[in-house]
Amino acid sequence: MNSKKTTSLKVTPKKQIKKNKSNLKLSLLIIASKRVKRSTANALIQEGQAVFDTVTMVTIDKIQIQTSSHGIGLFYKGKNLLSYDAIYPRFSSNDFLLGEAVMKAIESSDAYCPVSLKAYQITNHKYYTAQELSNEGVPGILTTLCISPKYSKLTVAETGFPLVLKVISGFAGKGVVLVRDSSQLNSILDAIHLFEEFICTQQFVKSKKPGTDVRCYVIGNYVLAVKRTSAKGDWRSNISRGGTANLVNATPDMIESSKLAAKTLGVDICAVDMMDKQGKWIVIEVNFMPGPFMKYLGNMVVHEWIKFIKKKTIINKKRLLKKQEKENEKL
Amino acid sequence: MRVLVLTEKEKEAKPFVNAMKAIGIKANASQLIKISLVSKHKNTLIKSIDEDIPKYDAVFLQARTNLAPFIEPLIDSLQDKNIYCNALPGSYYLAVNEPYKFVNLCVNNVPTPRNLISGSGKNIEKVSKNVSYPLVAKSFLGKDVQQSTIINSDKELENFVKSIKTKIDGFVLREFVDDCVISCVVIGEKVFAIDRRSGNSCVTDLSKGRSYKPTEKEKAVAIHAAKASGLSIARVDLVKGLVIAVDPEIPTQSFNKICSVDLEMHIANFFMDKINEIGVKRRPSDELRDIVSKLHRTIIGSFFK
Repeated sequence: MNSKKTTSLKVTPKKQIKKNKSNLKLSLLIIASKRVKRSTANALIQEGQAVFDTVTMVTIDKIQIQTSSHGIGLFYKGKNLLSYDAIYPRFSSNDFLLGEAVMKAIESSDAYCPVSLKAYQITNHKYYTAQELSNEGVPGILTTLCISPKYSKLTVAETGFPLVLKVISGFAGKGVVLVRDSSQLNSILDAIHLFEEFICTQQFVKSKKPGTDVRCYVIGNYVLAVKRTSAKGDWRSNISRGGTANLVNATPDMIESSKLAAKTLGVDICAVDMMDKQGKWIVIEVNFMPGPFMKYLGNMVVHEWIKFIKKKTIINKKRLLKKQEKENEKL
Repeated sequence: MRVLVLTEKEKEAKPFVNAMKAIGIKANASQLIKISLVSKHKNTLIKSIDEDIPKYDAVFLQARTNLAPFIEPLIDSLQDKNIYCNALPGSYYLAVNEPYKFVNLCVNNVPTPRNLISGSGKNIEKVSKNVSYPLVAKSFLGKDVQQSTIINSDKELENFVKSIKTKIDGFVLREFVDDCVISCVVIGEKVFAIDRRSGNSCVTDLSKGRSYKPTEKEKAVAIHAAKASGLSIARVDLVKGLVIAVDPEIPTQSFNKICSVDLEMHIANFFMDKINEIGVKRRPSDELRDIVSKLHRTIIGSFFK
């Protein structure tokens, strides 16, 4: 499981991309969601193997977390996973029970990790994301949150109609409803209350080009923009809902906003979904575990992720070695 | 000095408001359900049906942990507006997720019993080879505990695994420390405790416990556990000096009765000290009053006299 020869998921034939010219032996651990998409997993392993000496992928539900007076350990088949040089967690909101615990354990280790616990918590909460980003000046949409339908009038007064009602932990376009008037809202609120969901509303913003938006993959300082177009008859442009994707040139405001969003959440890798509101690009949401749109872009995004993780891992490992040398000198 | 007491039900806030008013704090109560958050460009509005929340110096929050998805952005924006709150951002996320809570305590060197946590029910037996009996086994569906039981042998563990009928999101096997639970309430640096011993057994009902004077070590552990969980006011349960639970909600009634204390008053004093430490907010009305008093001391003032 923990070497090139043994991985938990089947690997497609290895393709040499770049040899690791550094003298450092580098290991990469990818902790995948329990609902990992096999094509993405294969691409990550394949690209990882091209530049790392050891690549391991394990799904989060297979990990054993041990806490004791000696400290914390993440184990898979007896191997301590916190000893890896780089760890790339790719969790969804379905993995929350263990996801937060694993993220906390990773943050306590020396491994380089391109994402953060804070980002995992915030990006899986539609309202919280809007709040954190707008406080830092990232252009977004007016968003509200309340507990009770009884007092939702306060928030509806802010958004007006039509509005978009969202389930705070929804993903891939699920749990999103367009509400045109108060009678429609009341019937939906009854259902929401029944499921003890919180009420998150968002101003409906008419896109300059309806049915299209842009996903900006932030990979360190690099931003890769992809235009998504919705399937016929759907107003949501998610690829998982039948949308299509093609590469576009990122505009300066797209680059600025998506980088600021990533910085606010403390991540090096994420995807920022944006839409054109009367000629201005605004952020709709940030994805902690973005799909790499392999059907349209092949391994391109995965390749960039791995290349970046390797670069940062070398910097981190060199820093750790220097620190260790200094400590040894002191002794 | 203004403090808003935020609870789920109005009557829960009343004793705290009364205690605060008794020592000169301008305290009011509000219900969490009456609050809504509005995120506008570069600003988050905390709106309420009956209160202007930004005018307060501090908020005392008491709510169930399953309200975390609402409370987390709320306490984050309170902090942004320099309003002191007894819970830090992230504390409710910690309190609601048991595996995360124990990993956090461990990372912060808070003594806890040994835990083994994993995601799949299939792993239970494999994992159990690393633990000794007795142990506490808990299975989770989402963040909620689905089943919890004490296991003494391989056979019992096998039965536990078989009893998990639905798909689970994870489980915890915790070293069972066979001793009585000491339930503590931490208020800043103060600790009040109840020993849940009754004869030779341990009572689950807190109100049947007895007053207990915690040792200095137990006090230090309880305070450390609360702080590590981002809480200045918390309930912390200990067994043989090991932390087994941390919760932002405190059962004041039981503690007041058993320990003959007035926890509401201790909380009021804690808020008084805290606000004195961080400073009272300057409000436009205060500034206007200052200008008027300064004017009174000038020639214009004496002219009016």
